[in-house]
Amino acid sequence: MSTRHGPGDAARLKVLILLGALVAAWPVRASAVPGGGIDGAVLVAHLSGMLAGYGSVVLVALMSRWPVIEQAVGVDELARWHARGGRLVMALIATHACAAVVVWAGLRGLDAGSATTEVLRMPGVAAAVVAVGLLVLVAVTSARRARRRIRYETWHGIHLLTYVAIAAAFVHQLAGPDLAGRRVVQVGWSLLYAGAFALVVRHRVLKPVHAAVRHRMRVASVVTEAAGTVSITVHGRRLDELDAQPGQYFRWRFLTPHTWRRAHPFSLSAPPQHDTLRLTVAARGDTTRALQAISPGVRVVADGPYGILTERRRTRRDVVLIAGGIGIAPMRALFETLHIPSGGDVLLLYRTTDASRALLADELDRLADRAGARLHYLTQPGGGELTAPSLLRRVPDLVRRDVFVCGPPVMTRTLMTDLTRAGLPRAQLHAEGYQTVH
Amino acid sequence: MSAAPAGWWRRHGASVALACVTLAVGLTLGLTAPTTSPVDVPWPAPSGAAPATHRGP
Repeated sequence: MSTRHGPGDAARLKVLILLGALVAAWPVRASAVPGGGIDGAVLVAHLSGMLAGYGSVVLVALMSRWPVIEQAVGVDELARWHARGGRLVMALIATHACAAVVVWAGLRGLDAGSATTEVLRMPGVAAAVVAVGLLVLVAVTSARRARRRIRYETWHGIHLLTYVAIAAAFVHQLAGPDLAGRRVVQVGWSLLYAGAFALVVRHRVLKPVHAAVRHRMRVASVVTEAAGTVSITVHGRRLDELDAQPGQYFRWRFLTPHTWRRAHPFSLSAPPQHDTLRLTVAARGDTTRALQAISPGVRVVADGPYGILTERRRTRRDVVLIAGGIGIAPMRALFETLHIPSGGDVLLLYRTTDASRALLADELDRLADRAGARLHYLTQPGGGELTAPSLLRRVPDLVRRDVFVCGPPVMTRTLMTDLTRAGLPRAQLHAEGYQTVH
Repeated sequence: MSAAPAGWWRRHGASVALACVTLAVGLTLGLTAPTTSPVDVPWPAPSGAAPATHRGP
């Protein structure tokens, strides 16, 4: 799998999405009133419907885990696009439904209730109603307050209904006035949807199954790093074919009775070898506690690699790595392998509550000595401040370096904003917040 | 078959098969889609003009 995609791809992706949106906006033509002009209500009904259909298929493609998209945009950014895009599509659907009823009521001279009843009886609209019902269920259960109350497995099962909803909405779209009878557009629209769903099947289903069969991974050893933290080494066949890079992560599924249902994202905490991968897991909840006691020999399915924190992103000679919490895992792997050219400097800043509790500290100290790199522990309170001014005091030439950041989501987001405001070019900032795995 | 094409098919065969299935599904859905819309109705024409067929919501 190629992972050589960069920020330029993100720009091209945005252009493609915008071009697609323009294509979806073609109902402007259908809204022209004979004799000149455009009927505003009709235009809103058509345009919102088509854009909702287009937005749905874009969301499916964005979440397909297609490496081209994941590498170009980054998983964190994709998650933000997904959340914003989901809300936008729901708003477009609501607009489309209301405008359609208003237009129909005007055409037929009906009140809103009668117009709604007539619209609901039209062929293809039942499928749309099912789609909307499912999407509302998904949206409600995805709201932050609801997410905290329901189990991940329940939420995930409901979220998968999105695919059913989008398929049902597709039936409605093909029968709608913007597509019906326009064979070329219908074929193009169908190919667009089929393509997006194929990406999902390819990267979310076939790829993990293929990896499970081809690489046959098993837990080789479990080493306690600190109280409540272990490093798990996984052995497998032909792992070099995965083209994993230090700094990347996999979605790991450990096939035990307690952990097989869900795949969890964990970064590689050491450079990948041709037959082994290592991850480091801190106990934060039921699953991560269960992994502390996992036995050698347990079968593992790893989906990946994912993530943008790789040397391939590097643009400058000098580098600063910033890690917070378990975010030290990918930074440690990167710290070992980053090339230090003559006269160059690599500095790792590791924020931790207490230097004595720093994870992988022995390895980090050893690596720093061996490579001639620098390692600073930022311990809280006091030295743990991570702001652009505090970083510029430590590293005056910060804006001329590449900066890699991995830490808790809030720390990562705040730091990204802060560093960008301080003048660090976006192309030199490579950041990923880790997801807390319970 | 020589070794190189065999290797190519081993690496890309599944992708090619999936692309063919995707194409077939997309074409089938598009070519069997409805040809008329349930909301094709006579559109109210501007005052004084003859009614024209137009598409509703």
